[in-house]
Amino acid sequence: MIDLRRAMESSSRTQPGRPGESRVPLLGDVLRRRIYSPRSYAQARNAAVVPVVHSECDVLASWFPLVWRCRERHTEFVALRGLVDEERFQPRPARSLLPLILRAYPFVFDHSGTIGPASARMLDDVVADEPTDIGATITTVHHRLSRATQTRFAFMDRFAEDAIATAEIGQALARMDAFEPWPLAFDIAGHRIEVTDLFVIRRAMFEGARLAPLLRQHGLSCARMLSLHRVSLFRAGGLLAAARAALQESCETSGPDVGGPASQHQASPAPQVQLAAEA
Amino acid sequence: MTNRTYRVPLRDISHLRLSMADDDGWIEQLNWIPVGASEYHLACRHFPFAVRIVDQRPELGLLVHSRYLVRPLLDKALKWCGVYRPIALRCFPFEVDGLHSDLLSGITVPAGSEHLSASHGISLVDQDGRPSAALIEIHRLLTLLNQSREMFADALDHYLIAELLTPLSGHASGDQLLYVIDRNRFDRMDHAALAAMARHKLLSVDLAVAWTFSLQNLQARCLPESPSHARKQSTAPLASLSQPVSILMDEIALVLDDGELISLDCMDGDLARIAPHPPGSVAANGSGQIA
Repeated sequence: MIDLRRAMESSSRTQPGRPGESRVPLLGDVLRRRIYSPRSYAQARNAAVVPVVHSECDVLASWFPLVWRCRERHTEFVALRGLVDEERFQPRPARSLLPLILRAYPFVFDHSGTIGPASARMLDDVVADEPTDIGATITTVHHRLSRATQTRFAFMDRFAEDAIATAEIGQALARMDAFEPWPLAFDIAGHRIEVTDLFVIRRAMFEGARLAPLLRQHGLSCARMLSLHRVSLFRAGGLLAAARAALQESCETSGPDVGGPASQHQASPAPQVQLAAEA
Repeated sequence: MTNRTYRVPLRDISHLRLSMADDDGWIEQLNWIPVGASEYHLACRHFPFAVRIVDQRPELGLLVHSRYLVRPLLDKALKWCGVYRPIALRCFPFEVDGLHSDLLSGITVPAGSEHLSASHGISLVDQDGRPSAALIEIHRLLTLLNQSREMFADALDHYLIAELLTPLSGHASGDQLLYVIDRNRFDRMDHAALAAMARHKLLSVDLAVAWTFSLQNLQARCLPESPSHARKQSTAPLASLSQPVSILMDEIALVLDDGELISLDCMDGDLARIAPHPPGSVAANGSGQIA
């Protein structure tokens, strides 16, 4: 038996938070910081629920379920990269496939309003725990943005450009009462893994012509979102397989001490790992 | 399933047994297999879709021959190494004609099939001559495929009307002509056209998106447009974002940091001083030079 809390111990040491939790303005000494590739940061590597835009569906639907996260009347289109905020819970071939907003990391948007082209760029005040390169500065001696910064800002521009239409489509679906909860709860190796607040489009919505007005308003971007959302749901099986493999790997590397005797864990309630919503 | 061979009903050969080889090399004898309405969302991740024309009617299916596929279905020992096994492969070599309510008369096999044996294999009928449980399940699945053909008919007509179908490249000589969706044309469809396609049923739009998505599994040389063009574009991170459907799974752009290496000692100033605009607009000119 595996104690999931102990299995995740290494993750908790290296993952102080999710992307955007420590954002600071791009001012003063912050501009003297060195930035590294997005995968150098635990926040980017491990984030399981990541906001995405409609133009990413073609690439991401091959690996991740693309669904909506709804809480407190806020609807957000997201990719589910894993069942737990830890890289090992993502399908191995897809770990280097970062959604657009993570390709811009450690730059993040100011989340004070709906993300759009006018949204301010900020820096996540975090440490690159596993730098894959020697990094680059944010600005150059010539008072220019470095190429690394430009590239990341371009990814943010692209995200911001499509974020409004993506949000409008999600809001329209919510108004149509098109969503139903997508409960993801699994008992793996005696432990409960649960992802909450995710929603999918009800199957009945795809019958008949109820979604045609959305296509008239939003065109192909909406068509891609709707269809590839359905296509992507089959990727949940891959996430479950990855979770099983991660827990199995933890069990093998940690040895019999991890979690203690099986009887103890069978007698005690399984710890529940919940994915909070912030990403 | 590529050629119209003479087929016989199982009732005529029910004394024979199904004797499939140990390997799956027989899949290489197939080009195209029909796809079911219940499986196309899953199948589009692993197989390119294609249409064949039979008796002037388009039929939707999957390309399964290795010459079309980015990832082969068989390993060197001809063992299955694919992820999803479509209904038609699970039911091979059987087909159902849909004309007979009697199961043994409705299911057919190619005359002289090498997958039937008089001496060994799985019996098709039980001791009383009734269809085996496995055969009943095969009949159910094949009936689903037949019903799917009817369900897809209107959608495929939409594609013909909108001239969305284009011949597949990379054919072996003598093969039946196959067609794939022209994703460039589909990408150019305006909102009104898409809404018109979805006015009665969403299926034709939904299927078209799944079809364009399925083309990531098709060898680039089989695509109607220049494959080198698509590959060149997908190597540049930003260009790849503007060509999402052209990205093959083995061409996922890695995130590399190509920024200048500047000593911190050389750094001076802050963004507010060098960039009088709000942080959200600093990259607007695209050059990195602050205006």
